[in-house]
Amino acid sequence: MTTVHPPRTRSLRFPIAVLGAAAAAVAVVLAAAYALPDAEDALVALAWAVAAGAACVTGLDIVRRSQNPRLRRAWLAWSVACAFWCGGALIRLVAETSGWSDLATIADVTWWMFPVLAGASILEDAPRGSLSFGLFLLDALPVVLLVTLLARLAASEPLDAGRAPELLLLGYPLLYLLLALVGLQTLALERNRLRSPNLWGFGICQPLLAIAALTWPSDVIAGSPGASFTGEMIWAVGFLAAGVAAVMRARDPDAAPALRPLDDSGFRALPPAIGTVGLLAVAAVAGSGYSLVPVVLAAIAVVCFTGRAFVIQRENRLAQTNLEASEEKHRTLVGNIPGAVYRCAYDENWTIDFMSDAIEELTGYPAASFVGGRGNGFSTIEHPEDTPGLGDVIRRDVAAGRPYAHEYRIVRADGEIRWVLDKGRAAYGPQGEVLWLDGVLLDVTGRKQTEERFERQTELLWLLQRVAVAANEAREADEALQVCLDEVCAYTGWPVGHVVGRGEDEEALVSSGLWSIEESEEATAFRAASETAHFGPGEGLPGRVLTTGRALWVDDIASEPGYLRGGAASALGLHAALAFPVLVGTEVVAVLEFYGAEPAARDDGLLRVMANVGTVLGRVVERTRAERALAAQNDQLRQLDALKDEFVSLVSHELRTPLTSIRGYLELVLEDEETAVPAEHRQYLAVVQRNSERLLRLVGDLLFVAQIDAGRLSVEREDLDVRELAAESLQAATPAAEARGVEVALDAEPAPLAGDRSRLAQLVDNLVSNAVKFTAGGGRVAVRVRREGDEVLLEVADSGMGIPADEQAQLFERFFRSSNARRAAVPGTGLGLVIVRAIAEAHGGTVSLESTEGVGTTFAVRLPARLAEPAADSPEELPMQEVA
Amino acid sequence: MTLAAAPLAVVADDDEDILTLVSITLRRAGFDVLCARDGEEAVTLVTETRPALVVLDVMMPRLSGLDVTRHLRALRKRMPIILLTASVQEQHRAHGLEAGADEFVRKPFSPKDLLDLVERLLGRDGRPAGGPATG
Repeated sequence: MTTVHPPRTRSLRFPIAVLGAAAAAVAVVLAAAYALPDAEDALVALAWAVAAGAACVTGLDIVRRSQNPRLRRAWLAWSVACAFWCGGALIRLVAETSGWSDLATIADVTWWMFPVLAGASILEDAPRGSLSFGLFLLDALPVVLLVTLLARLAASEPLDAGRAPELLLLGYPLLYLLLALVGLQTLALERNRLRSPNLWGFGICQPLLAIAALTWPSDVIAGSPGASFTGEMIWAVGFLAAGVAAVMRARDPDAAPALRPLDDSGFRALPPAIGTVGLLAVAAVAGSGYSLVPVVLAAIAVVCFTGRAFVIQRENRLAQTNLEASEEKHRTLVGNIPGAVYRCAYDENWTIDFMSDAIEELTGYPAASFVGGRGNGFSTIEHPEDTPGLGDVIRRDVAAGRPYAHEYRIVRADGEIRWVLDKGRAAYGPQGEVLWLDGVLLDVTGRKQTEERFERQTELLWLLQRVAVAANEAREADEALQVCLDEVCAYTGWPVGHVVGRGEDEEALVSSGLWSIEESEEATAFRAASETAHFGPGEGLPGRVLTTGRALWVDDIASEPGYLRGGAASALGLHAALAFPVLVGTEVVAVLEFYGAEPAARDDGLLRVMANVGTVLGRVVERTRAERALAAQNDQLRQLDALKDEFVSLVSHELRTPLTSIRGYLELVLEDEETAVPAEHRQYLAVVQRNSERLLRLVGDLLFVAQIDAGRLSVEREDLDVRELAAESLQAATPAAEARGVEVALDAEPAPLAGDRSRLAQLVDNLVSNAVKFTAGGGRVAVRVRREGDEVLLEVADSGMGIPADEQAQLFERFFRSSNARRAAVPGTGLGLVIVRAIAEAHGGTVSLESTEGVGTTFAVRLPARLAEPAADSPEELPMQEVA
Repeated sequence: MTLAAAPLAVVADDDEDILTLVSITLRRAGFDVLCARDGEEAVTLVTETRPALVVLDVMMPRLSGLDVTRHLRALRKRMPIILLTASVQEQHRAHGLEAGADEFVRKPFSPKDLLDLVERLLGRDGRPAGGPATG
């Protein structure tokens, strides 16, 4: 907490009244002295007394009013000095009126006290720096006196009491000259503090007194009373000037410097000085004859005084050094704090009382320009966008007794932006009122930049992530591209994003019609310009990206000579531009272009991420391309499939209808026994019939395979016995086998299962007829039917030519015919085994074979032996009518 | 059995050879046969003559065999109807039966099997077998 300043204004009516009255009185008295030459000396003495008394009273008035101890002492010294002067003048007045000349001597001696005390007063109030010199001058005073006395002694001139005043007169001018020098030196040292009226007062007063004193000896020596009178006048004016100085001083009690050593140096010099003067007085008054005793005493006093003065000077110097060291310490402490330290008033403008030098490094403005609220202030350096509301926030903190800490931007003298942390708290008075704020401004630009960089990086990663997610989810590349346009525009705050892609002319890029743009007249014009443009390699922004395959940044397209849409772009207010390719491998399939409303410097982080985005989008394009190709392929396959179905039904109809006629009419001819068909012709017709059957079987097989391919092979299950199917099949094959000389044999046990009768019959027929076909005369075909666990095993073994091992794997491929079959010209379509396997698998079974060339082949079919579930089959469903 | 008592059959097929084959087969079995070359003609003949049996090819111009069947059933003609088709697809058979046909015969068929079917149909319906004795 701090002391409360006293009110600065005070009434000056009293000292002004005193001085005015005194001046008037002096003027009257001096006028009287001029009019009455006989009473001149007495009246002059009276004027002295009045003037000095007034000076004394005004000095005491300051002492009474001031609360500054040092100031009080200084003006007390001045008042005492004036009191001595006044007293001396009164004694002289008495001496003049009574004719007692000894009194005159006493008066003179009393006067001597004035300069000594006045000097003390100056020292008390003088700024530092003038002290050493002032002390030296005061020290010199007794020396001057001593020299004067010694000179007299050397002249062997007896010193009588009557001569004492003259003797003393010689010292006066010197004394006042010295005091004048003190005043002038003070003025010279403190010329930058010229508003201190006290100094002016002394500066004017002392030279005047010196000049007045000079007139005195000239009066005595030259015997010119006029000179003496002039001197008295000047002297009086000098005192008045001192009085005026005192009045002005009274208005500015704080003008004395804040830091000042040796509070009482003047007073410490006082006692020896008084002692010396007292000794001289005794010597002078005693002065019948010239005794060595007072001289020795005076010399001792002088030595003491001088020694004392030296000690004081040393103390002074030491204190000065300490002070400077302390000040330096504080200055470096404040200076080395990383940031500017300030103290400011808690007022509307935060008027700054103190600002450390570091502010210059921070703002570029000197610290002095901030102090006093006349030049810079917080409001002149704060960034205009950051200031609103900041003051209110700080006021809330201060009102709550909290420290405050806020970050805001400032604008340096050179226009550069810096971030500062403004941290501080208020000082409060005894009643809790806010006295001022102490705080520090720290440069946090580096940290802020790091934070911003980090934030930007994070934002970029989010951007990349969002685009990647969109790319993953997008079914069409356009969806992902649109998301990318919107996201990048949102991130950058740029108004325009656009995609150009490969046109029909594969060499050039044209608008894809994908935009992120706010509708406006200018936007429409820019869109039109973009959508009608063709960007060949190297042409315009997209063309350049097309050529290089790399992202491109343009600070300002307005100053870019190769930009094609300059007019429309500038009408829309576009400046900065960014374009990057969507790459599939090294092929540029599209270019995304973005435009900002302001020129902007290249952002490498953004470019890097955009390169990644381009790759991600490229994958989407690649994927959708592949999907489209696949879909097209599927379409084609579906068309082919439909074509095949159509072909199959065509074949089915177109082949089966003529076959119906061939076979029907043959049957009509052959069944008619009475019809006279020669035996030979009957044989020919049998060949026709056989081949028509073969043709029918082929058509049937083809249709069957087509059904398998179409996945339309249906199985209608009913309970049946595989043994019966095998027996029927063998029976049917017997004629052909007998014709070839092949023996057939059945070894079967009951093997019931639920299956499609006609299809399983077809399976057995195919295997048996194959076996017969591939077995030479004398061979054997054996069919075995077994129940094995949950399976029915059907084996058809022959002793035929066998199948080469390397062909066995292909055996179940359609239209495959073994090399042996082809060599032996065994007729067949290569579809029989395909049908066998399809039927077996439709029943949940398998087909396998073992074959050795020249030994024979055994086909084994395993079928699950499950019976029909009663509810599963529809009993109404009639079995397929096999007419053939 | 008199000639007047010979049952009448209507046969329709756009393939002349098949038409002839079926006609011969049925005539040998003792039917009087009227031939139609498309569906519309078949409908006309059936409505005019009230035959004991109708044999229709499925794929015919103007009206398909299925349409003719539906039409006839809609006209409350209850005589047996046999459909002939070259199709092997199961659903065609189902469609034919749904439309009201009694039997569904795949081409190629044997004339003898066709006759067996006809006899079974007429016999099943309790009608006179129609004296297949030739002569």
